[in-house]
Amino acid sequence: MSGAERWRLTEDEWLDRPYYNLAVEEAIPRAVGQGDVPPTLRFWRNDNTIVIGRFQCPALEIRFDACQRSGTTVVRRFTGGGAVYHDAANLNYALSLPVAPSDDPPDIFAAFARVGAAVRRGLALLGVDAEFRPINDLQVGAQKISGMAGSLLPGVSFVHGCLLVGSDLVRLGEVLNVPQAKLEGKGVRSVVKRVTTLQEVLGRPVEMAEVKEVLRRGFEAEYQVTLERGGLSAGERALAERLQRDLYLAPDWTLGPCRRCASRAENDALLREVAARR
Amino acid sequence: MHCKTVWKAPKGKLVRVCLDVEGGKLHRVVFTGDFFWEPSDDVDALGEALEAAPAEPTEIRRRVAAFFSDHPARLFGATQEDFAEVVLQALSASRPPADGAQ
Repeated sequence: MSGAERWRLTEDEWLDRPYYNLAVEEAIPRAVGQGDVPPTLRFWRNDNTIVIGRFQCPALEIRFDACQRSGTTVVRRFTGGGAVYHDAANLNYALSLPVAPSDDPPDIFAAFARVGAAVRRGLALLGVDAEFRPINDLQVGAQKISGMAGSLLPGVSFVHGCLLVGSDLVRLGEVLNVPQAKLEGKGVRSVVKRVTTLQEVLGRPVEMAEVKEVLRRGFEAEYQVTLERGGLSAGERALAERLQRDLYLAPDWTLGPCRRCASRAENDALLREVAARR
Repeated sequence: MHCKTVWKAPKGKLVRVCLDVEGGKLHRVVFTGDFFWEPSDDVDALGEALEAAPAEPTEIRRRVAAFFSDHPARLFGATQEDFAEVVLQALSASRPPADGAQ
């Protein structure tokens, strides 16, 4: 696509460092907002991690006993939205786009829809017909295959999401505590029935490289850009280190503002995990 | 008395509240949920704005409305009214704290 604007595609990931992964997830849009790096699409994975939304209470969103048994880490991201389970067969995508001060205030709903359209284009290349469901879901039929969250940081519009490629839905159902109100709103009784994976839809194993390739093409087609592979800048790495140290590994960040609904043992378990990573 | 409840915003996300009621007033009000809200620090500030508020619908609604008037927020998946509503739901459905809760 000669002449098309060039954006960066970065695939830096640390499967066993979920707190650092989330710190990088914030460092990149901040750097884009500062104008230090080009508009960026990131593909990355966490292994065996629950990521809760900015405003969620961990005690109400996770099943502590199941997490302890399976060694599942709990981390909090900086964007709102709901809790998700990440494993190595779940692909995260994150798009950071600069917003000029003179532009109209970005519309996060439109940003979700546009990213959803890009992912939808990519999945169509695999023969998967996904549909964007406002506010921030992609579904195949009645089942969710991808969910998004986002934030409007200074100078940047940021949307990220996760795509279930071949995730362990049994483990997902065990460690997440999805409220009945949420399931009933979607007309299902269990979270396992509410979601599906690309492997389930296609009825075959799906390689992560295959998924990343079609999503790359989907984003290029939707936004009419060329994506060039590039790593993190020194500034992004330094910011991610600071964010990990000062925010993501801060005990109060993961526990949140209210500790009344978890037992003392459950809170202590979360604090031990954070302390072990510092 | 400790209360907590969850409110499903119509066509939106979940809003939860945890609070204590002592002497007919709200204390330690904390909102959580899977909505989107910017600037994000204001979620805690709304809970603080309800500290010592009478556990009475009109006053609760008034304080929530006054807060958002002073703190313009970009809310997605929930409305300002949802935050008042979840508090009222918690008060009407109050029950004793669960065993082991701190």
